[in-house]
This record gives sequence, C-alpha cells and structure tokens, in this order.
Amino acid sequence: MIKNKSRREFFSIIGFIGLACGIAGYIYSALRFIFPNILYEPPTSFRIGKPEQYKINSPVFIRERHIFVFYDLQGIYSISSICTHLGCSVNWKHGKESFECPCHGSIFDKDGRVKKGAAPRPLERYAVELAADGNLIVNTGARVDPTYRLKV
Amino acid sequence: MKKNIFARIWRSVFRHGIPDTDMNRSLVVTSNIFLHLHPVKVRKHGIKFWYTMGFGGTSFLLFIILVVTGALLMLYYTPVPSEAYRSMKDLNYVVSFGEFQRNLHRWAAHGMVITVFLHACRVFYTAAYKPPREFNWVIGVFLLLITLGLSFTGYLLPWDQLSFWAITVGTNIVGYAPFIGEKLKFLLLGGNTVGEGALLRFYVLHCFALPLLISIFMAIHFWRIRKDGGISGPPVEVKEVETELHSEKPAPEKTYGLMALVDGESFMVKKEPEDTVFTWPHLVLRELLWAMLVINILVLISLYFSAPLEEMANPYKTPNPAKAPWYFLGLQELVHYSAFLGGILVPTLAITALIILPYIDRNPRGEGVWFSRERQWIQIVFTVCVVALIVLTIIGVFFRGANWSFVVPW
Ligand code: HEM
Ligand code: FES
Repeated sequence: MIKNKSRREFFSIIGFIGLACGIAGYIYSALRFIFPNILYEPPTSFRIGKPEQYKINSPVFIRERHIFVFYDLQGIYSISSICTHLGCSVNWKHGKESFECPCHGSIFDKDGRVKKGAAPRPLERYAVELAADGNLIVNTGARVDPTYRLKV
Repeated sequence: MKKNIFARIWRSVFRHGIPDTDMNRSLVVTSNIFLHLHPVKVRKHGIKFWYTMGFGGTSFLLFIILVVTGALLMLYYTPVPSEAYRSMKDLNYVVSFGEFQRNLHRWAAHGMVITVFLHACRVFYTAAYKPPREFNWVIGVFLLLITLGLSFTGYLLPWDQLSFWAITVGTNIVGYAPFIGEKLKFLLLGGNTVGEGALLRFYVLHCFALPLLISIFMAIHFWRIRKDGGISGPPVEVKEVETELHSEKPAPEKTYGLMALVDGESFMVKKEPEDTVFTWPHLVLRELLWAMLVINILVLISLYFSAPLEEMANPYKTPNPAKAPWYFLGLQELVHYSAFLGGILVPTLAITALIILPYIDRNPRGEGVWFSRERQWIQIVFTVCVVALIVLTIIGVFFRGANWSFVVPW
C-alpha cells in the first residue's frame, strides 16, 4: 500500500516536471521565434563612386546610405547622418560648417563632435577604402575614430 | 397562433417580463450578460454625474467605437511600406465614407487617451483607490499604459512622415533603457531600422495583441469594481437596528450574494439599503443618454476635422521640427534635454509611483468626496506633477519650432 502510494507520487512528480519542461520549452521557442535571423536590410558595405567625383571642402550627402562624404586636405572620410540622440537625419549647414538635428536641436561640428544639445556621442564615422577598380567603398559595419582619413 | 409564436421567440430570448416591478428590474440585469456588469442596485452617490463624471464609462465607450471603426479600416489597410500609405490615400479619397471612418477612429483614439487620464485623476481626487480598491487602481495603471501603447502603435500605420519619424524617435528612446534597451528595440522593430519588419510588428500589436490584452485587463477592472462593493463613496452611517437584526454573523443585503456563504464580512454589511436605487432604469438610462451625447460629439468632430496625413514616409528626410504624438510631447520636451532622463528615468519613476501610490497612502480618510481637506498633502504633490506634465506638453505642442527651438505661436 505504502509502496503503491509512493509510486503514484513519483509518477505524478515526473508528470509535473514534464509539464513544466514542456511549457518552459515552448516559451523559450516563442521568445527565440520573435528575434528574426535574416534581415532584409541594405548592405553595410557599398560603393560610392570614384575619388575624382568629390571636390575639396564641399561635402556630399548620399541619402540612401545615410552618410555624408567629406573631402579635405588630409583626405576622404564619411560621417553618418543619423543623429546619435534619437536617430533623426541631421542636416549640413554650409555657412556654419556644422550639422543640425531637426528633432531636438543637437548640433555637431564638421568632424561630428557634439557642440550643443542632448546627443550623447559624436556622429558615427565609417571606414572608407579604395577598391581595386578605383571605386571608393564605405563600410558602415566598421566604425573608425574621428581622425580617420583615406589619403588620396 | 401567430401572436403566440412571436411571444414564444421573445420569451426564449428574454426570460423576464417588462421591468416595471422590482422583481423584473432585478432579472433584467442578472439575466443579461452585458447588463450583468452592473449590480442590481447601486448607491445613489455612485451614479451622481459629478462624482465620476462618467470618465471610466466614456473610456470604455470610446474603446468599443475604436474596435468597430478599426475593424472596418482593416478591410482596406495593407501593412507593408509600399502599400500602407496608398491605402490611407484610398481611404481618404476613394472608399465611401472612408475618411469619416478614419476620422472617427483617430479622434476616438485621442479622446480615449484624454478620458483615461481624466478618469485616473478623478479616481485620485476622490480617493477612490483606498482599500479595498488598491489593486483595481494598479490594474488601472496598466490600462493607462496599454491605452498609450495602442495609440503609439497605431501612429506608425499610416506610414507618412509624421508616423515614420515619431516611431524612429520613440523606438530609439527604448534603446536607452539600461541593459535590455538595444535588444528590446531590435525586438520591437524586428530589425535595426524602421522598415517593413517594424510596420508588420506594430500592425500585429495594434490590431491584435494590445486590444486582446486591454480587453482582459478591462474585464478584470470591471469585475473588481463589483467585487470591491461597487463605485466608491463616503462611508455609510451604521444603523444600530441592523446589527440587532443580524446578531450572529451578518449576511449581505443581497439575497443572491455568494458572500453570505463565506466567512468574514462582506462590503454590504451594515450598509443602509435605502441608499440604493435600481440599476434599471436609473443607471442604464443615464449611461444611454451619456453615450448618445458622446457619440454625437464624436461624429460632429469627425465631420468637421480630418485626421492628418502628411507626405509619404521618407527615411532620408526628417521633417523639421519632428514631433511625437501630442500625449508624448511632455516627454519629448524632457528628451530634448536628455534622452535617458525623459525617455527612461522620469517615465519609470512616474509609473512606479502610480503603482505603489495606494499602498503608501495610508491615510484612511477622504474617500468618496472630491478634494477632501483631510488629504491635502498628497493632493498638492499629485497636482504639481499633473500641472508639470500639462505645462511640458503645452510647451512641446505650441512653443517648439524648427530644431526644437523656442518659438511663440502668435
Ligand atoms: C482603458 C481604460 C479604463 C477604463 C475603460 C476604465 C473603466 C472604469 C469604469 C467604467 C469605472 C466605474 C466608475 C467610473 O466610470 O468612473 C472605473 C472605476 C475605477 N477605475 Fe477605471 N478605467 C480605466 C483606466 C483606469 C486607470 C488609468 C485607473 C487609475 C490609474 C483606474 C482606476 C479605477 C479605480 C480605482 C476605479 C474604482 C473607482 C471607484 O470605485 O470610485 N482605471 N474604471
Ligand atoms: S534626434 Fe537629434 S537631437 Fe534628438
């Protein structure tokens, strides 16, 4: 009798553990499910034409890529146009030599450093490289520091 | 014979007679699943308009309107970036009464944010969260949050400039949350940028997940109102005679109450029965009249004012200034000083304070009357917060121009 009871208890405990595992497993699968594995987002590395297309001291905005391309005496560099505050698209102000964000008024200097406002970090700087075919390649996956220039 | 069959059909639906006797007035409420949300009799105090001002009921009514108009809008709306904006244009210019349904939906949504907020203020200023209603206040805080979530997710769906940038800013704020921020943002957007993944997720949240969630919370909210003894009010004077009547263990006044069977006192114990009136017709009629008034106002507004639709979303050009929906502009005003302060710290503190409020406010007095003199301190603190929120919102709406600089609207 006693033996019988403990056997029943044993099986019901096994049963409950099984149920708990099943539920936990499903919750895990659901949580994992909602994180996508493939993103159909634009590539992080792309061509932006030849160096000759860029003129000294007149920055070019490549809007589809959310970057500005600068060419100064030290070389070529690219700056992200996405405000580090909350992601609005900053505008280049020619006269003032600075970027202004329309959303909450952050202002960045020519090198992307924060001059004013709530933005916590400078604008991102991306590596620019010269491909074998003479085209410039920007890699938004590779962040570089503000002194980075591609000598041309 | 013919008359008989109609009588039988009628009888099969409504089991009770015409509600002109007390018996039938009780049955009309208890035998109807919808009316059964109400008790058979209600305290006179609770149905005075100036006590609740019907804000809770109006929130519920607006929610029902949102469900109906929302289901209609879904027939023409396609949640993919290339189609979404076109469906809005179709609704506005091609679909019969499309713009009208859209306006109803939009203005009811704004209205619901306002009435839920005012309802919470009413509950606060009448100290209606005092025991035993503390937990229903907590449920209410979640209802407020889900209401804001519904409005916010709906904001992205038109896929115009307004939606796109409000959601860009909003989801980036989420990214500032410590530890889990970036993960949470990725989850919400289904990617790293506001794109097709984000639109589909917001659509599912807006049209399915959040409405389901808010319905569940509303069900609990209404159930709790009943279980907590109906609408709050000032304590009822105890009648000595009554204690004599129920000398041993007093049973509730209501004969059908389950609470007579369980241990302990029920909320109706020692309360004067004369203080109540029948729900049918006294409360039901008032609710009906009020609902008609609200619907009329909403229809008028929707006939004269159109829901905005700007240019199609352009991920490369931020409008200047880029503003969140008005009910978040108070926060955006803070976000303009610091994203963490306005987006995470202040909201988290405010929500926490709201949730624990009924548990830290131990002062037992003041329940059931507006602006009771017996709880001045807490009312001052609450009022300062509410005024601060309103002032910040007004600044955000009217006094902020290009680059979020201070402008004067006249
Ligand atoms: C979707 C949102 C909501 C709906 C539809 C809703 C609906 C209602 C209704 C119909 C009532 C009956 C009395 C009245 O109309 O005032 C009520 C009472 C109550 N509500 Fe809400 N409510 C909502 C949100 C909230 C919020 C945000 C709070 C507080 C933070 C809250 C706290 C309470 C409390 C404590 C009561 C009991 C008040 C009393 O007995 O006097 N509710 N609610
Ligand atoms: S997003 Fe640029 S200042 Fe806020």
